[in-house]
Amino acid sequence: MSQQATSAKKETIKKQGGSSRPKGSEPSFNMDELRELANLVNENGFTDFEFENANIRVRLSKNPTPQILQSMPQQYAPAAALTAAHAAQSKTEIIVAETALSETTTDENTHVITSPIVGTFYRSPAPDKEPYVKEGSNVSPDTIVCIVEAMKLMNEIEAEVAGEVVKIYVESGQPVEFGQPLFDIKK
Amino acid sequence: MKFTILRFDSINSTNTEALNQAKQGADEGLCVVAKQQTDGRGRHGRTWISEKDAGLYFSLVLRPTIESKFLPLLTLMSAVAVYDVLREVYKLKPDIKWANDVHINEKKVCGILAEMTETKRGLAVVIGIGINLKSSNLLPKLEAIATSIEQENNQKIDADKLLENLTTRLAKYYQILKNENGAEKIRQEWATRSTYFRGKSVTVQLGNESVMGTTRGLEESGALRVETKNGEIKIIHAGVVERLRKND
Repeated sequence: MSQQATSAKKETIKKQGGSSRPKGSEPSFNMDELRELANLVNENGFTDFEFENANIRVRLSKNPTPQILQSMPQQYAPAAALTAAHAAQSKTEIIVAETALSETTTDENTHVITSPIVGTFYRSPAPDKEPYVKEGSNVSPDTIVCIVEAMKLMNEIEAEVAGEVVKIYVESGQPVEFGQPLFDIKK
Repeated sequence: MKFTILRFDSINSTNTEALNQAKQGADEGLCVVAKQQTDGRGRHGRTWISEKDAGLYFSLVLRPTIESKFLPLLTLMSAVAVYDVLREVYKLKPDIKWANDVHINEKKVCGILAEMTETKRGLAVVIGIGINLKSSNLLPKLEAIATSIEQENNQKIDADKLLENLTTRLAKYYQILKNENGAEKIRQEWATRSTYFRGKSVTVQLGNESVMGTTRGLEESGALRVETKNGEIKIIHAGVVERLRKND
């Protein structure tokens, strides 16, 4: 994602105290308010909408391929994709691509497997063993595709969907962050 | 926690068996114990040498419901339990090397490998613990880096008594971890038992990269903070941490 997509409009809005705040972000918008904002963006033909105050930055974008950033803090539910573009560390930042509020897929036919923890990524059970999967491998939802290790806890990652492995993002033995894409599975 | 113990004279790997049992729906508290492992496993394909009656080879099935970011603390918790058995029952002076190796006099006496998997009953974690009981079968190449309880306190070790003491303490610390502020308490318990917690000069092997620095405590997940010479703090989630020796 580019440093920051050009905002067509930048508006200041009065934040309302939402009753159902996203976990880990306070103060914040609730989901109804975000949907209202999304509709506003649509109705006015904006490609981007951005709001920022001392506590929160919200950007609504029609960019169809939201990406989850590696630095996404673990305590935030992945309800919205994040960008680190201008994220001050003390702020909560939410990027919502049109209607996509809980997407981790690049399109509806591709499932992105992301790392559930920070750790080390292994493609095979041992260095001298065959990888669990390769590009072109067919997988079922319970197929183990890799291991992510954190503090000698070896975490078996399953494909979650049936399909074909079309992309492998990370080299075996490399560190991975929470939410970092590991595989694309074409459903 | 109620323990159910499955005993084997010989098995490929107690962790593999425990993982299979978990996938078939085993309850939390199932223990797989073997006198010998023919394919004992360590971290990422390493071998855990498991000669007959030379060690306690043990795997425990857990079905933790704690926050996922704290799951790695299960391995630190297990090291604390082993530490206490060695100290309280066998009067030894162990140390915990991050994350969960237990050493005596700089030699490894216990290794812990946890494996996590999804099952039809939800998430399961298998805690595999190998404790060296005696050194008579130790390979010469391991003598410099490994030891055993028997070698350190000159007593013949009753494996069943060791198992009983270990399960008691695992249950105790698992309960603490599940309680309110449990993660913090487990980190504190670990910190008081490990010289690696703070101020230790270490090298860390991370894939192809090697980091040298001084330990600066733990992150909330149990990850190790290491300050490099230029003052940068590296957060170590995996990798091999070794004490920096004087000649290094």
